[in-house]
Amino acid sequence: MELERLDDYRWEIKKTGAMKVPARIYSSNALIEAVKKEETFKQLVNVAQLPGIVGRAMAMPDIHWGYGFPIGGVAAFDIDNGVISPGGVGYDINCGVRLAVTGLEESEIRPRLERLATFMQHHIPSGVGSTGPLKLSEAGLKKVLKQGSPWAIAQGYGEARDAERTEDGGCMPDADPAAVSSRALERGRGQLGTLGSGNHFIEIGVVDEIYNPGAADAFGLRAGQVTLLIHTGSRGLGHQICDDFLAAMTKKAGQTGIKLPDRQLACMPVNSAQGRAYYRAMACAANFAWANRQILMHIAADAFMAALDISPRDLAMRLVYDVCHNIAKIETHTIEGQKQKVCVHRKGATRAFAPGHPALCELYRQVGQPILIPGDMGTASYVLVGTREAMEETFGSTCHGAGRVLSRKAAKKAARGRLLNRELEEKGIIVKASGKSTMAEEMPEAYKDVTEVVEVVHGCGISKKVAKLRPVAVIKG
Amino acid sequence: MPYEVIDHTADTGIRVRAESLHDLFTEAARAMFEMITDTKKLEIGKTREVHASGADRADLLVNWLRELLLIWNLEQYLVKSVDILEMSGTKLKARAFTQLFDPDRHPVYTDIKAVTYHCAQVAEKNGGWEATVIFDV
Repeated sequence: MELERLDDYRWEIKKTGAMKVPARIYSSNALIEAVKKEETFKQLVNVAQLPGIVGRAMAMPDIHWGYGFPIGGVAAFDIDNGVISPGGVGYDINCGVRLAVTGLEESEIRPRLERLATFMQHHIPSGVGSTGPLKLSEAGLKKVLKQGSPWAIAQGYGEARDAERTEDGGCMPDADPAAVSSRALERGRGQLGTLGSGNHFIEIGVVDEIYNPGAADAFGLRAGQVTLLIHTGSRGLGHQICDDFLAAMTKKAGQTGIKLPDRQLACMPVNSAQGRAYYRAMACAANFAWANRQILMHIAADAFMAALDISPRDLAMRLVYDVCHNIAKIETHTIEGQKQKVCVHRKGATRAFAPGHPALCELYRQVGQPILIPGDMGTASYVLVGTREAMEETFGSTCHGAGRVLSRKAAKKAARGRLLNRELEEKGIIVKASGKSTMAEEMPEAYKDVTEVVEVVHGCGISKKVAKLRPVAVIKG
Repeated sequence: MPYEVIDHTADTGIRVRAESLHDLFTEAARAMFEMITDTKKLEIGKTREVHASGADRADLLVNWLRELLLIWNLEQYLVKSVDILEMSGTKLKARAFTQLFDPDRHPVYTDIKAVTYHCAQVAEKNGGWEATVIFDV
């Protein structure tokens, strides 16, 4: 397997052996060395062998080793001859990020930051076994799965305008709860409005730097403003849907004649009964995740108001956008001059639609889709905007975050004997984590440099920098 | 130590060794729940029957661990130990001794969310058996 460098940001693996298309890696001198050590390129080559893959198998600069498909991968499959794969989406279906801005300035929260972080931690249900504010019947849960964030808005968790500021309006219309197992429903029932554990978080930040004033203005971002970033997904429901379909598709793998280098790549033709059932179930998990982030934003707003003793008008919270990081979508793209319907898998990657795209709400159609890239808890997060280059090269996709460089154990070892809380406090960041090991596992050094990742996608043009957010308080699940 | 913990960049898993397949599957179950909690602190509250099947040994191992993990993920019960009653290369029947999770008494070291097929393997080695499984955490 030979890696050929095309320019400053692009590498390619030529089509050889069983590969149906070449593989493309977006990276930099600094980032590519770490990836070379892992089996990640082998994983990308495996994806390039799957039936009906179109264009190229692609890796974003934050790529790292995943189960079957690499994380930070993008692959599109023809809807007539191609496949859909639960492993190409990931366990946490519609794990994603939501950004809201407030009318507050950093100076207004600094003196009461400790109190704000404590209130936030107490308000937001997080950690193992936590349950949300809603007691849902099975019929109630099915409504959530069908309707997504508009359901949460109708229950009073947010405002009507929030839905259009969410990818797909916060609802994939193909969702069909009949495709979801009773086990998955049971796992999801108590978890709506919960953050979860692991790498999920709520971050209170400040707009630190504006790179593109025109886009920042359209997104409602201004320097010094206090922001809220929510990173979570579909919780146990999405995990169970992925697990159920992996098991079912593995059972049937022999009948399709598709050669799998790894069972975790289990897939089915997009148009087969099982492929369609997965898409409908996956859409349910996506809708659950959007409703989840919608409810969490509402709870976070309550925490702000209670901690700072201010009114909704003082807080003036407004949703900027909400994006998925783990999803498969049927989209129309122009491939070699022809319009083609494809099933785009984004696993640890973000949609990055260009200005003028009809899927964008009127507010952002002129400027392009907002893209939200969370960093680690000690560095920064970024807001980017979608471009024409992304439409032409990557099926309208870009990176999703920093990506791990240290294993959890290695991170714990690196954290030994250190007071991580104090180190971050010295940088002006308060961190509240439910477990000590979470704090160590999620330490800043465990992740790639998010700034380097963002420079790659900006440099090669598949998205453009709009603003940088600096964290001031982080609540980890 | 009959098992070791695998530690990759983004993954955690186990490599288990045993003399027989029966012991290998028992050890794998123990290893998974020892990663989740301190099983010595568990008492036996509820005994239940678990069934699993698979296309081959690796598939059976993944499905066996999936069934056990579901007891945790679905019902919030922790598994103290298992007793495999019957098993072939593609099917097994077992008893699992479980207790309801009590956050004040039971630590959660690693919240395992899924058992993956990624690199899942069961193979004969040096006259005994070795298995590898990666968990999503």
